[in-house]
Amino acid sequence: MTVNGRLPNPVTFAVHMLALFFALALAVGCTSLKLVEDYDPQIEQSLNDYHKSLISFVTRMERAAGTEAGSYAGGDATEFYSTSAGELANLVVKATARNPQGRCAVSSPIAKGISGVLLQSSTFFGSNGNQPSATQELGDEVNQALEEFNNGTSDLAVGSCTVVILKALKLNHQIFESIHKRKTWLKPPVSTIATELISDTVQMAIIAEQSKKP
Amino acid sequence: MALNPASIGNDMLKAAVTTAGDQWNMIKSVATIQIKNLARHLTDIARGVADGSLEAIDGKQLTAMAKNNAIAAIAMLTELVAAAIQKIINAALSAVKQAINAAAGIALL
Repeated sequence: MTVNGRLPNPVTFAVHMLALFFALALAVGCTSLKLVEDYDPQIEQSLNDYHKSLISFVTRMERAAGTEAGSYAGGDATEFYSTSAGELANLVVKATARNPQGRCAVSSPIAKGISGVLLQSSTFFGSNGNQPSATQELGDEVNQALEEFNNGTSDLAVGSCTVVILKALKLNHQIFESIHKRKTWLKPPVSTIATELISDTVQMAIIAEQSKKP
Repeated sequence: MALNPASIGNDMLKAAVTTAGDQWNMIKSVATIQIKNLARHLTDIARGVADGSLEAIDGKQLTAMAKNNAIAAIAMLTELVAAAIQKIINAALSAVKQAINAAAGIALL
């Protein structure tokens, strides 16, 4: 899959995939290939709805910072967090039910290949990259998390790839709530970085779901 | 009807390469964006903790979120590659379906 930490060109990729498929097809006698679940528009819609409500909530909370209405306990913050957490938990359950035996980590040679490229890349973060030392330290923590995901010891390792992304989103929502609770009010730069991180998670979940469209 | 293996192979490869090219460009673009986003967030967190605009505990919690995103990125790219493989193979099969079925006299594909 990889050559010196670089991804192959499309022609090489296609030839390898064709060879792989026909070997598999001969082995199991199938004439079409299905590797991902069917596209579910409701998952994409729920993610869009969650993201809209998050951005609206954060904007309102930042404007109300320092007042009772913007505090974790004083306004409608706890209601937003609990309602959204319920919706995200439901999405995880729904995605798991679509593919109960799905495994994104450990047994997936694709996931191992991709994370292998990332971890070896000189442009990636971590102490093998070209970032300032403080960033490298954080990068090493991220790399450690990827290693744990690959060897199956991460809490996120169980489930299909869709389930893994949705579980990451649910966890990030919980961390966001705990930040608000600890700090009482949401203020930049903490709220800005946290919101951008959640937006990225939502974006990745939507892109993954859209890739399943025929 | 006589089948020409070289022609069938070329048709399949052409369909696969066309599909792979489209899928590959999209995967490269998405991977680049998400990796750059992660690197930017880690840099912002490190700078914020260093200049005091973020407390140490803020940095830890934000880094925990970034770790989850790194895993989500692997999962997303894995899903994209799997979906791409599915599309490439099925495009290749579709390209020769008519010729194969006609030669066999039954619907093999």
